[in-house]
Amino acid sequence: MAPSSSGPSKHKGPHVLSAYLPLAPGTHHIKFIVDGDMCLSKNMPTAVDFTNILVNYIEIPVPEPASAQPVQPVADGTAPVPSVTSETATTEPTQKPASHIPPQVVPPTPEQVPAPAQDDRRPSTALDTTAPGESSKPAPVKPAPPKQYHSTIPQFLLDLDAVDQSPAYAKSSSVANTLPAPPSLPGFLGKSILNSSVQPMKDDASVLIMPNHTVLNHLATSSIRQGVLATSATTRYKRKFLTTIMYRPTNDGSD
Amino acid sequence: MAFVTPSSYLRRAHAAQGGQPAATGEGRRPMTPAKPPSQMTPLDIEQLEGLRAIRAFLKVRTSYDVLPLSFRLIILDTALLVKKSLNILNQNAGIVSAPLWDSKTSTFAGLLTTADYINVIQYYWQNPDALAQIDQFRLNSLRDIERSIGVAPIETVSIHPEKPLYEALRRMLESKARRIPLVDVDDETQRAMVVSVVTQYRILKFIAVNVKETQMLRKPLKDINLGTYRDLATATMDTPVMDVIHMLVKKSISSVPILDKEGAVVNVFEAVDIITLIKGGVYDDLTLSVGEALLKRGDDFAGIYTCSVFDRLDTIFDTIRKSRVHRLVVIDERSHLVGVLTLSDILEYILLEGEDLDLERE
Repeated sequence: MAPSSSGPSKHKGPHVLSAYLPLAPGTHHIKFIVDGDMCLSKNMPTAVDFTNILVNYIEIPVPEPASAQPVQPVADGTAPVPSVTSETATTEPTQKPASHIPPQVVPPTPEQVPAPAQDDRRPSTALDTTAPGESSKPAPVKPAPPKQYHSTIPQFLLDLDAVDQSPAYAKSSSVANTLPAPPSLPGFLGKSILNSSVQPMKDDASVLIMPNHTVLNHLATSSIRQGVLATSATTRYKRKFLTTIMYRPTNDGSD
Repeated sequence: MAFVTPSSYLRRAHAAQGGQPAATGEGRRPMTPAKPPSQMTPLDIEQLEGLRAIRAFLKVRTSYDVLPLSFRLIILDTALLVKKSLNILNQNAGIVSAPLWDSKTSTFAGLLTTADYINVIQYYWQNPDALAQIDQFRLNSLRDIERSIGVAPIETVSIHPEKPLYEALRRMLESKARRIPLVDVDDETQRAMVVSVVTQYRILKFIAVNVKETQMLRKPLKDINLGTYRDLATATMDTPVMDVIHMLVKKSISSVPILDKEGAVVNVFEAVDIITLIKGGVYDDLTLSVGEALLKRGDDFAGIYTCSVFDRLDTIFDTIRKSRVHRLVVIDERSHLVGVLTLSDILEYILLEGEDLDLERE
């Protein structure tokens, strides 16, 4: 990618300004200052930030581990009026103004450093020993030979319900102890955004923190309290995230 | 980008009411009589320009724009007992209403609001022997309760999230609702889904934060006839809460100013205070006086906001931007009650004032 400086756009002509900003993956809010007035671009999606101010936003996806993505170029400001004196993009406080940023390719963020080449013959169980926090590429797994599936419940599972101290129960519980533990809940699913102690906006109790995409479309439930069950799910609604909590009675009176 | 022109909205109102801008019920102020352009002062002109800019904003922005990037929506199943629904509202701080879902038919079944609880209270007051069955009332019987006390069921209007805010506000004004559910169709099930509920408060806040032309509205309240100044319901700290509830129902209002012996405003009883009052499910607390009832308010109460007839919308919008304002009590220099200015009043003024002039300009 040939570096070009921020300023008049080389692609769209001298009356259009462009800027390159190195942005970390995530959602960035952006507003434009044109002739001293803060305004929004009609060509970018809009949202409300935590203080209810309308902003444009750019979502930078997390780059794939194998290739480091080049910096996403900011949308060219379409300001046809030649009297635009300056156009500065103001992003989250940690970003420097556009004019000070030397154009360059963003180095990949540390977590996304491509994993060292994996040995194909490594058995698949070694994947379990990957330390949490590292997102190294899993070794390609040879598909296991197809198992036979049936719907008969194994006797030892039925015996788990048997009377304590009966020989059937003792036998089945010892079998159960030798089975592998069920997979543990992936990290994000254990922390619902509803349980977060942070309230992003004091004024509006319905505002939540942004969910990680891995928790979308999962059904979460609360414990049943006084005959009421709450279930919730976070889904996308257009470009925003909607967490619906439904309260239902366990007994709806229609016996 | 195509703007919705004022005439496409106004023609509907004109056709319905024979040329008058929509009047929204008794007790509402009459529209400020329009001055001919030659008599308008710079202040008048600036006011109209400000209103036009706000209306233009409302016709471009949609309810979707007001929604936060990540937000929560609480929905109640209609099979829930009424008293359980109260617990749920109280557990979730800041919630005073919720969409209802009928899981037998998988359909959206309206909005639960403070008005519904007030109707339940009214029902028990009229039928004290029914108090024994209160524990069995479910949300799906609310409509029956309303019918039996002679209250017309509030028609639940809704709107698609991508329609302009202007249209959402018009629908709320026409149905006298203070909030409107945003309803879309789920693309997988083809059924109605509620995306959120947007309130007049949230839209006004959105305007206050994002439209700098609110600073052009510099005419004082007394010159624009904004607010209610006659037939005001009031009470004192000793008034029984039940009497205040009767006032709320009879006059279709959401608050009653509380005065002391000299007539100075000391507090305001709001409809949402009722939810705190009956949260134990103990309807006996309705024998309390207003003073005792107000002691039950939580610590997060936003406070009472006042203004005078000399205040202008630019400063009022400033206040709305910075604080949780749900209404303003208009007082004089001795803190005596002069009038009440509600969010509905402000929105009605913004939507309709000067629109007939705009129509003539088209």
